[in-house]
Amino acid sequence: MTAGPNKEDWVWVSNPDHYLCRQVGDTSFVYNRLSGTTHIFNLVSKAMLDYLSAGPKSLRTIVTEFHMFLEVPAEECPRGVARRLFDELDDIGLVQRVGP
Amino acid sequence: MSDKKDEDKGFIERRRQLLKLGAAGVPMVLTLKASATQPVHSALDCAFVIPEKVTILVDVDGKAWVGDGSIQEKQGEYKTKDVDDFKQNADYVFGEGTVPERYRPDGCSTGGGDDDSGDDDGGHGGWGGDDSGGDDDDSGWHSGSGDDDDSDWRTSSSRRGDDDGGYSGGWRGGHGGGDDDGDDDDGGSGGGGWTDCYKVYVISRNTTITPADYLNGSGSWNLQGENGLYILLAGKYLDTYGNDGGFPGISCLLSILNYLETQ
Repeated sequence: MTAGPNKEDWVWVSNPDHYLCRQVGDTSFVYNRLSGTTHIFNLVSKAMLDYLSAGPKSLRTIVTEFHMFLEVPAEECPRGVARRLFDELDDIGLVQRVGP
Repeated sequence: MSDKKDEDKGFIERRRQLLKLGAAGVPMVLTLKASATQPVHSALDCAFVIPEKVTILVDVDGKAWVGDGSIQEKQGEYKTKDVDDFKQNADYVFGEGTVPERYRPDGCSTGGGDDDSGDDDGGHGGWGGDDSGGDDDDSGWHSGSGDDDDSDWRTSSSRRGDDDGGYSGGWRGGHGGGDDDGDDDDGGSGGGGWTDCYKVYVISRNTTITPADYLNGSGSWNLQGENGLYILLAGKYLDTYGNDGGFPGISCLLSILNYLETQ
């Protein structure tokens, strides 16, 4: 869980220019150009990265619609799980707020 | 074409399985240290925020009540009525011997201690790995005080079944109004009095707790202050109830304990 306030209408994006990604099977190695750290993503966290890299989205949209991107029913990807995935990316500096 | 469909199905199914792990609190991202010489589980970096003010009331026997009420304090004594109200409305109650000596009140001169003390000491002493009752619990939490410290934690999940019996008598989820061991009348001196038989710890709203800050290099816990007490209670909760999400910070703590167990 990330610290600090976060409003649901704030808009976030992942900038593909800020990271390098190499996929090996189901595992992706993501190098954050800004922090100089390397992270290992699984299929779900990589999906979140792709989802956020596709364009800016509000936190509300992210937690309610990420399951559609995963092509699973909403109950299999509850809001809390989507939120935590987002927070994990936020923690390692791979998302940035672009609005409002 | 059907191969492609099967492949897609398998891909989605693998993601579904991972999602289940995510729902159980397992981190989805691992981080490598910049040096790349040692992988560090992001679980160790997790932190959680206490969303609302948390008050922890501790008695001389090591029982603890957790809630959001307030208790008036005057020169080291607490208003008996506030204490009683707080206990009645506590969100979580932890049994005798749960809280180590160092967090308990120094004494109890006003006679307000629980009247069930001594009835079931042995059952609650299991956390510290000792068999002499609940009073020695804290030895298992000091850092650097011996090899036993970290083993208490590392084996906590695997010992879950052993401890359950011991804690079940004193643990209650939800509100503590239905107390059946007679400790609700222990204010002793009536609604207008003051008692020194308790100690109160308050964690303010929006406090961020990073459990890894309380871990030393060898994986032993060094729990200090009110945040340390909160982690301790979260560990107790986890040990008995597992990761049911009811106690803020449980997922974070679980991920750390799981990580330590694999080391």
